[in-house]
Amino acid sequence: MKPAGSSHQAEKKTGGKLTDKEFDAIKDDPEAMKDYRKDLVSRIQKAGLY
Amino acid sequence: MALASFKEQMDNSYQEIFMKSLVAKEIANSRLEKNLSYGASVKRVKMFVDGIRVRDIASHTNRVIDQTNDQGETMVINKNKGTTFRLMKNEETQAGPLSPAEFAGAKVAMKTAIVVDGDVLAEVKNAWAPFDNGDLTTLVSSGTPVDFTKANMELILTRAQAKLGKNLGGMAGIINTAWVIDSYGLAEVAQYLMAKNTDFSKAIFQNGLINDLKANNAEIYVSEALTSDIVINMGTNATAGQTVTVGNFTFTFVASIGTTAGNVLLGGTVDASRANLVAAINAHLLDDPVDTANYIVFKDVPASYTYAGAQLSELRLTATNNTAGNQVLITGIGCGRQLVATTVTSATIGSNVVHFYYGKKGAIDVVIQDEVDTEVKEDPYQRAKIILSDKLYGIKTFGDGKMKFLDVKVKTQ
Repeated sequence: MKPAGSSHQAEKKTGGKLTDKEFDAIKDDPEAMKDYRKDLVSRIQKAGLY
Repeated sequence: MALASFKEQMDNSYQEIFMKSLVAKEIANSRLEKNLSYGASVKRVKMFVDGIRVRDIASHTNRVIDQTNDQGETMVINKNKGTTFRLMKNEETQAGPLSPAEFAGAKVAMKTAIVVDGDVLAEVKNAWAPFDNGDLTTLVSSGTPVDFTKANMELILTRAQAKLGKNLGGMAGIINTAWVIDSYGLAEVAQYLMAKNTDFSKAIFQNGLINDLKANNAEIYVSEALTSDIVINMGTNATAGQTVTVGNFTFTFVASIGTTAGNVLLGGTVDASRANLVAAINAHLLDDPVDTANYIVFKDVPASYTYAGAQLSELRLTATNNTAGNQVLITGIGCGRQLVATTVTSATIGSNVVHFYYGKKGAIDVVIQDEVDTEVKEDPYQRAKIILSDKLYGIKTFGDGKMKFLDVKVKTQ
């Protein structure tokens, strides 16, 4: 999932993780949170954590 | 990172990983409850019909009225496990694809899932019937653990199914079954079933389920949080320098206690030496193990960032000194298969058993708090956050559940 307003460059820099501001913007939106969690799982895998 | 965002991101990460890595969620009859409180009890009532008999009916004779009754059993929500740690501000820099909160949540969830799985899989020992080497060729268990090897695999898979079927009153009852084995067990099953597609990596995010592998129509789950039982026979006193090793931890009998972790003071008698060894092992069940005049504990925090496997306290070993039998009995909840060795001249490893689960899914009941209970606080004395996360749950194998699985006793080494 691309955070709202993020550029390709920003995503590359952060590895897809959201800033506080970006997270706060989606945390009350169930659909966006569903996407966030899906993305989170893939990022956890990417991090080799699990 | 703001506290509220930190907490929410950590909770999301925790829940995602906890619910996807918990083997117990699939094996047990798991129920998630929003509002659980410690000490609460959940009563389950079931009609008990074992007293009903099928009888010959004779005309003009009063019939025998058999008794049924409501069998009520209670599960107590008495397990409250949590983690508490400090995250320094300068440690919050998290390179890579995860934020510090997501990283912490995932890691803590994995650790907690292992503990919950350990508690649930320890229920295997409450099975109504065991399955061991004797069951491979006879109708009775012999007390000798089974060699869970490729060579024995045909017998194990078919005879375990037969024993469970007989206990459940017929093979028709053998549906929705599963094995919970460890990685080494899986290696043996995989060799036996090598023609199958065995992509073990698919167990990731599937609660330990090996997706493409079935054994005699039972699903296979892998967990390293199985329960182990170890018996060390020691009838004559050790001498200084002789050792007992459990997993990565070596206890050394010494004449003078010194300062080295794992030192155990030799007693004047073998009973006293065993007692010191038992106390040294059990010390690691405490939150903060401390040295005594009789043993030096393994410190819980590694001296460096070098990963050295699970800490001794994480193996959850409970030792007992069997003075009459000249034995040290060790049970490890959730510790999985552990290598045990000794150089004590008189000592032998009497047995080393890991308990696999084979049976119907849902035989063990588990009630778990739905959401993780997390609190993130600013540390008043440091530029840091203190993170507390708790999980509340209760486990019970009800009377009728005990029939539905076997305690498969497997030789560890």
